This record gives sequence, structure tokens and C-alpha cells, in this order.
Amino acid sequence: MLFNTFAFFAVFLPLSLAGYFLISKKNLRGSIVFLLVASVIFYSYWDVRYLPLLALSIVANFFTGRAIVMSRDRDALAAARRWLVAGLVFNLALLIFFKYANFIVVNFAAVTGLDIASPGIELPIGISFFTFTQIAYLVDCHQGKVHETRPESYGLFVTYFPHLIAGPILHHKEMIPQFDAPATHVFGSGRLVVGMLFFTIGLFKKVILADGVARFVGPVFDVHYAELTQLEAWAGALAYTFQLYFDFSAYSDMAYGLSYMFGIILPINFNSPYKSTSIIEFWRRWHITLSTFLRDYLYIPLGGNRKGQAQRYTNLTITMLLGGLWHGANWTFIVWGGLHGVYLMINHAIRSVLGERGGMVRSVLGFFATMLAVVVAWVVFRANSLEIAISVLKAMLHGTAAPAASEAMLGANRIMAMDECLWWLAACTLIVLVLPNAYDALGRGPLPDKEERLRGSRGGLVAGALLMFSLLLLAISETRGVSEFLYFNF
Amino acid sequence: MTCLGLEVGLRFLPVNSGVRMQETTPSTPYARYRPLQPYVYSYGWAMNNAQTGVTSREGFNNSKDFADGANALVIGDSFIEAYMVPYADTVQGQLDAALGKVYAASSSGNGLADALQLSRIFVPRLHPKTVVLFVEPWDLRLIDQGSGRGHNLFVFGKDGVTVEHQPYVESKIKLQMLRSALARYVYYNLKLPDWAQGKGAGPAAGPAADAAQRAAAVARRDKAMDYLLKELDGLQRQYGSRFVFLVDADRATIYANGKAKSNWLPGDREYLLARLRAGGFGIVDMEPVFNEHWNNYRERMDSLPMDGHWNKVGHKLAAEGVLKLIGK
Repeated sequence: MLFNTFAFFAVFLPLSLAGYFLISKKNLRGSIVFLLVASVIFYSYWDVRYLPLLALSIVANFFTGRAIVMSRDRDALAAARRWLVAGLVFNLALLIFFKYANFIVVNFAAVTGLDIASPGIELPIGISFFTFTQIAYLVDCHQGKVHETRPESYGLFVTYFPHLIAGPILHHKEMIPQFDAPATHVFGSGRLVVGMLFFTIGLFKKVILADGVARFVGPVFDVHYAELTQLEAWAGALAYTFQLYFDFSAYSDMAYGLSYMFGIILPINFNSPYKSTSIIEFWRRWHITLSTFLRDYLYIPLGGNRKGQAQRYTNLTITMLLGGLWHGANWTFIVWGGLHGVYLMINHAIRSVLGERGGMVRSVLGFFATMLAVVVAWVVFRANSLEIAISVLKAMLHGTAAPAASEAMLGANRIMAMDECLWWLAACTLIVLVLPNAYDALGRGPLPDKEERLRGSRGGLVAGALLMFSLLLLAISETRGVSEFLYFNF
Repeated sequence: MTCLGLEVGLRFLPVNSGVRMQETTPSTPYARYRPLQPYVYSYGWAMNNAQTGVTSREGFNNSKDFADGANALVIGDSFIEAYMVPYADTVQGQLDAALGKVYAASSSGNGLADALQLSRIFVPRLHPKTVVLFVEPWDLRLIDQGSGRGHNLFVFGKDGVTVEHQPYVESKIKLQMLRSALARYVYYNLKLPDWAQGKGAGPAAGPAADAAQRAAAVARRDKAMDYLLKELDGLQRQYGSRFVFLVDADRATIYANGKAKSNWLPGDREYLLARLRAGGFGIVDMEPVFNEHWNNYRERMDSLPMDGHWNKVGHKLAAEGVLKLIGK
């Protein structure tokens, strides 16, 4: 089910909220079970075929986690480690089979020259997210951060619908205390309105901004990539840069707002990354929970920066290559990850030479250099193949359109409405760089003061306005053809 | 409050005004709008491609007022009506600039039965030297299907094929509703009723039923085309007008280098061209023209994916094709 549909907003969400808070009045654990069932329905509505896989993954990880905790409690650390390794192998095997088998077979066939067809395995939606969430859980169990395991809480922790499909990647210790807290289960009209505010901001970003600028991406990357003017190539690259930004930002805001309505605070996953003045800062602001996961469960276990500069750069490269590969089974993602690995190495090298010197000049230069690096990498990320990526990058450098293109009747509007595109890009730039993000504007974490102010008639007025505005946005989304969130593909 | 705010805001924006249709009568059995009606056209949620204009005295868009002794009459559907293109850029506008006394009788949703009805009515009144009849894939796909209110359809009876008109009567409720800019935005720009109808549509028939239905549809298509071409030939002979068919190209496959799904049903396009050649009608086939233009300039002839109607490039190439055929 998609957040940007009438089915979700007008049916699933009200029923889930009503059921959750009504059951909470009688039985706190019962409401957790209800929300778990609702989340499973949410997932199955998309494609019920993947439900057994999700169930298998949850059950296997739950029992593995329990075995790790019990082994630790008995001081059987070797057994706990064996269970952890078994759990990691299980999770990675699922991920490799469903996400990378086609890629591995096709590349093996290409290298060996053997005539092997792709097995054509479909990617179960959300597998990357629920697998990483559970890997983190197993490691936390092994590190002694998790001590109790209740099946309904664990099931909800993994399937909780605001985060199930596209994150954020959650930690057990962040969520279970919130599930257990009685205050979470008490309905508050002010809380509902605050959640609606976050949700509506996200819906606006998705329906108007991300999907609005998306129409300037396809002509460049899917149709005309072999012959582009320099202007067209840059317009397409920047349009995708903003499409992905607003799409992911929208999902993050909507997930945060939805969860807020249920009284559960999700970690912030997106924090104005295009305001960054360095690549290091960019990765502290973009997909924060994935960056944190990669740092905590890959980069640091590899040795992090503790084994000298050379090993640090090697670790960075491995982390970013795998981070790239996490996004999908395509060489474009690996190269994208590699590019960011190189960017990070350069950034760390510059930082070790300059220290904190540079002031405003450094910030301005850093901003432009970071944006240039990010846009170039997004071209590789968006292209369906490396050949297409190279074509678009070449066009960004010197244009690749035939001379006859300059005689086109539509002029600069030859492949798309370029005048409109430039207005869109200008507007997106202003919004990204000048306006505060939803968390800066509304606040982070629980907002009891805001909830208090939005109770009563004032809250009713705001809720009514948000409801009408959301319905209009959903009408736009549905009638135009609902588009998935881009991160659903990863 | 929000609705009121939206209503006020939208009144300052180019919301599609909609164009009121004229009620049809037995003596005027064809779709047209109320005459001399100012309108605002815009497309989609963002009110793209905003255009303004006024319908002609005869209730058509993008046409000069009719007068006898026409050099050409262009008949078609929304492609020729062309709310999305200024008059000077349309086929008829460019033909008029070249020939003078060129008119257009076209309405959105017209099919080939409408084209025949319009020819029967306006060829005797205007005595055009050339009648340009626009055909696109859906004209053949839907040739045996029912029509919307205000339009005509082919009826397949025991005594052969006839044309039947579906009267248009204006809905009073709709008229009242559409006084609101917000309602017009939802109705015309978002096309919410179309979306709701699409959601309510039943599942598609299975492959076996498809094959049987397609065979029956092809038989009805052939009968309808026999009737249409015979009637048009009769008009040609009676009034000395020459019918030229302006046939749209398979643009989707041109853009995708043959890899996209065609809008034409398999065989429809070849069938149409063969029948027209056999009947001695003029043909302006846009397929090779659009193909060549695409290969040379990589420039679209429409506004896809937003809007599949021809843009000014499509219209210009079509006008050049017609002028080339009719000898100017």
C-alpha cells in the first residue's frame, strides 16, 4: 500500500488509528498485536506473495535472537557467536538470493561466455530494509543491548508499517520502550494534528515537488541519453537530483508523521543533505539510519580509522561499495558507491591538511564542490546502465546532440519543456537551500507543547485544513497515476 | 475554510474553464460547442500549457467562421480541435495561411461516424475543394463501439450499416457545479470522474474471449469502412470535393525505436491505408514524415508523456504534407 493513495489515507489509516487506540484502552499488548496485524495487511496489500518470506525472516530472526540472548545469559559466548554467524548467514543468503542472484548469474554468464539465462527472481519489496533491521537486531543481541524478547513486540518492531518498505532502519532499543510505554497508547488530538502536519508536508513534497520535477528526468535518462545538448543533460541531471531528494525526504516526513500519530517517534532519516558543505557532512544528513548502520556494523568492525590512514581509506571504500550495492544489483550502484568512497577519501585527506581552517570561503567552495560531486554521482545512480551514465556525463561536459538539433522547431524545448524545467529547478533550489526542513520548522522528538496548542477548536481547524489539503493532493496523485517512492526499489 | 481558500486562489489561476457543448437536434446531429464562447484551456494538475480562445460562430474551436467556397475543410477530433495549440500553429491555421478559406469542423471525441456526419452536413454547405479527414489509431479501434452523448456511431443492422446520433442534453446540475473554480479544477484538470470510472471498470476479458471478440470486431470494422468509404465517395462525386485522409503516425514506436507498444491494433493501419488506396482517396501518411523528422532532430511531435496530442511540430509537418499532396 502506498502512503499517497486514497486507499491508505481514507481507509487503512483511520481504521488502524481507531483500532489501535480503542484496543489500547482495554489491553496494551492487544493493541500491539493489532498494529502488527495491520502492518502485515499493509505489506500484503502490495503483494501477498512475499508475505511468507517476510514471516520466515521474522520467525527465524526472532528465534535466533532469543538463542543469542539465552546463550549470553548462560555466559556461553562461543555459542552466542555461532548463533550470530548463523543468523547473519541466513539474512545475507536471503538478500543475495532475492536481490543479487539475477545480477550474479548474468555477470557470470557474460564473463564465462556460457549461455545461462537470468533466473528472473523478483525483488520482494522492503527486503533490504527488513533484513538490515534484523541484522542490526542480532548484533545488538550479541552485544548484550537486547535482553528481552516478546514475539508480538519483535514482530511489530520489524513490520511496523511506517518504516517497513523504505525505512528508516530501526534499532530494537529505540522502539521497544516506546511500544511498552503506556503514554504511547493514549490517544491525543493534538498528537494527531502534529502527525498530520508532518504527513502533509511529506505528501506535498512527493505529489507536487518530486513527481512534478520527475517529468524532466525520463526524457534525458530513458529516451535521448545518446544525443543531448549540454543544457538538456544538466537539466535532466539536476531534475533527478531534486526528484530523489524530495521523494526520499517526502517518504521520511510521511513515515515520521504517521508514526507520530501512533505516539511512536521514529529516528530522523533525512536532514537537508543538500545544505552540506562537504561529502562527510552529506553522509551525516542523507539516509542517516543507513549511514549509521554501515558505520556501526561494517566500517567500525572492519577497523574504522583505528589502523592507520591506508586501512581507513580501504575500509571507507569497502563500506561505500557495499553501501552502493545495497541499493540494487547493478554496476551503476557499485560505481556510485565507489565514487562516494573516493569523495570521502579526498574529503578526509583535505580535512587532515586544512584542519578547521578556511572559514566562509571554505564553506562556499565546499558547498559547490559537494553539490557537483553529488550530482555527478546521481547521474550514475539514475542511469539504467554504465553506458547511459557515461553518455549523459559526456553530454554534461560538452553536449552530444547532432548539429541538426539546433535547427529543431521547438528550439530548447526539443525534448521537453525546457523553460518550465528551468523554473522548476529554480524553485526546487530555493526550497532546498532557503526553507527549513520539517524537523527544523516543527521540532524533533515528542512535542508536548505543540500538541497542547493544537488541542481543541484551533486544532480542529488546522486538522480540517490539513485533511482537505491532503485530499486534494491525493486527488492529484491518483488522477495523474500514483507513483511509487523511489526507495521502494532499493 | 480550506475549500474557500482554494476557490479564491484558483480563480486567479488558469483553471480549465471547460467549454459548454451545444445541445444537439435532429437537424444538427454532431458535437459542437456553444458559439462565440470564450474559454481557458489548461492541462493537468499544474495547469500546464494554458491557452485562451473563443469558439467560432459554428461552435468549433480553432476555426474561422464558415463561408461557402472553401478551399479546404479539416474534419477530425481533439487533435484538430487542438485546444493545446494556438490557431496559427494548427494544421487548419497553416493551411489557411497558405490557401485562404480553410475551416475546421472538429470536436473532442469524434470518431469516423462523426466525420461522415460532418461531411454530409458541411460539404454541401461549404463546397470545399478538399476535405482533410484526420484519422488516428482509436478511430479504427473504436469504429464498432458506442459513442458519447452528442456523437454518432455506426449501427450494424440486418439491412446493413447506418449512422445513429446520440443526443446531447446539458446537465443542469453539472452547469451549477462548474461555476466553482475548485469544481472545474477537479473535473477538467484532474479529471477525477474519469479516474473514478476507470477504478470502477471490470476486469479485462481472457485471451480466448479476446481473440473471438477481435475477430467479430474486425468483421464490423470492415463493414463500417465499406459503408464510410462508399458514402464519402458519393459525396466526392456529387460535390466535386476531394477527400484526403491525414493519418497519424505510430509515434510511440518511433520514439522507442520500434520497442514500444503500438496504439494501432495489429493490422489496422495497413488495412486502412490499403482501403484508402483502393478507393482512390488522397493519403497524407505521417509515419514516414514523423520518422524522418525524429531521425534528423530527435524532436517530439507531441507533449508526451503529459499529453499525446500533436504539438506545433506535428501540426506543421501535417500541414506541409497536405499542401504537398494538394499541389501547393
